[in-house]
Amino acid sequence: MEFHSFSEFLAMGKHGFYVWLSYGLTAVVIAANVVQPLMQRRRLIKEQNRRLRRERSQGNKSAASSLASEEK
Amino acid sequence: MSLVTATIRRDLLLAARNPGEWLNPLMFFLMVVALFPLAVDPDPKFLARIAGGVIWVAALLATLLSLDALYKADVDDGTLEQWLASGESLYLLALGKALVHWLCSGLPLTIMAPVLGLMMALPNDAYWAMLLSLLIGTPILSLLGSVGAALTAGVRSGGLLLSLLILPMYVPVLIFAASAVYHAGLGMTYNGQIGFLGAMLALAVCLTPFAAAAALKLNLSR
Amino acid sequence: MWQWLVRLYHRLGSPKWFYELTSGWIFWLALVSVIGTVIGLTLGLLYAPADYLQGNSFRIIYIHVPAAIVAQSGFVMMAVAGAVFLIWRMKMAAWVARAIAPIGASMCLISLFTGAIWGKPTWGTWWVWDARLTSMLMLLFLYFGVMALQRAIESEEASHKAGAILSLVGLVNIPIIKYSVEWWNTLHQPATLKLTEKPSMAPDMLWPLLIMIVTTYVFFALLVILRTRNEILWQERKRSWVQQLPEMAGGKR
Repeated sequence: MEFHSFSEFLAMGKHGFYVWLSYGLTAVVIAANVVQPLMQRRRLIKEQNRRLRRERSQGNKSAASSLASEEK
Repeated sequence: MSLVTATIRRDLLLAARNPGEWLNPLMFFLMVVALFPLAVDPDPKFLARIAGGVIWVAALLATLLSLDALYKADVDDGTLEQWLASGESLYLLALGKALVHWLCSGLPLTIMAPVLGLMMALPNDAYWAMLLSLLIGTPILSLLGSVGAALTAGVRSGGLLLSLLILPMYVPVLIFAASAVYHAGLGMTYNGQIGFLGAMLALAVCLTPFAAAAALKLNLSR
Repeated sequence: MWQWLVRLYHRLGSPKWFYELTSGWIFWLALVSVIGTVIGLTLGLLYAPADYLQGNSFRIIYIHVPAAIVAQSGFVMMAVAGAVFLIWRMKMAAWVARAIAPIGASMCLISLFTGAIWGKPTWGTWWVWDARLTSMLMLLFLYFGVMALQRAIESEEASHKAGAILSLVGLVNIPIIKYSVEWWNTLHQPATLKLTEKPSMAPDMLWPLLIMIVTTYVFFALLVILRTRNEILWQERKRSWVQQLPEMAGGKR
């Protein structure tokens, strides 16, 4: 262990600001890169489901109308 | 081959009838260079230091300005389809188009550069280096640029996009050419830089027309 | 062997196969990324000795160098995927190439600003025209160019092809740019102290770096797979296999 206390670890000698600034900014960019595809996936699935439901309800309607015409 | 020579002749004729096409980038070249003493410092000693770099940056921008139109008309009016249908070598055609572009932009820039050298207090020793670097360097700009022009020919407002694509690729030319001029001004040899420029030119002649030909083909699938 | 490669190739070309195969990978790739980061950064931040010249600021190396390496090889991968698409018309390759571009650009960005921040305590200024930083900047411009071109062309097919051609031209140019920038830098020498060039690194410093490099590659693969899967979901949305996925409303549960 290079550091004897947590505050010493945070201070990083006198370079704490630079080290933590670069790690922090990196964390932000990484987080954005993870969140973006996950959000996109959720949106894609939601859109797909909406489309599927719409198509199915239309399909049911047309099936119902064809049944009705057969009964006549 | 006949199609290539015919295209070159047609494009040169078009440029001769419509001088604005190649004169405007030249005017731009002149004006950009004139901005530097106004914006930074007109002191001749300082100007002599930055002359080579400024002239080269301005030449690069002027080349970019005229690249936009290289393939645009041919894509829009269907000439490109005729070329593809003719079965002629697209490689030679792309090479020919780059040659025409250089004749209309790089060559006049090179001829005009000594005047700008006077305005920028270029050291006397550096004139030959500047002419030589422009003579070898500007064809590389035209060749690399023709790839970008072929890629963006069908894009609306493709000119700005073209600059974004091509500028990073111009960096090696700029580095070696500007350094040749700078070192010549200090009385040092500049054979190495000119050698690198020559190697890059050979590489560009061999490879870029392939990329430009491939890029031209994709304009049809739009 | 050849037969096997051909079979693998045909399978890789199938979006359905790729999607189903990678479903099980995501968890493990994420796990390896997290564990590797925890181990690598613990060793790097807590146990590696401070650099005798740069003090503790050298600990930025554990993100700067992996990001730079992955950004560079990401461009190569993007160009290779583009070439596969151009030569064999493999749609999947084009989707992978498009997925790589923003991730590679992010890695480039990370290595640039960590380099700049690292430069402040080392050189006293935020930005020095150091050879490596400058060529990373050019690489970022190349990434931006590819992304801008892909975005500008409306036709799907043409935008993939244009991106592939541009990344191949860029790939040929990268060594020339790197070489010229290094040559230019030796002329001007703004920085005598190189950020990352060490004659020999102590093993305590080196191991965390190697762990972080491998981890970053794994993480990169994870991001590329996530993005490619999204692209597949979108491109294949009309196919029945996508509509029957468990996560879809029409799927079997």
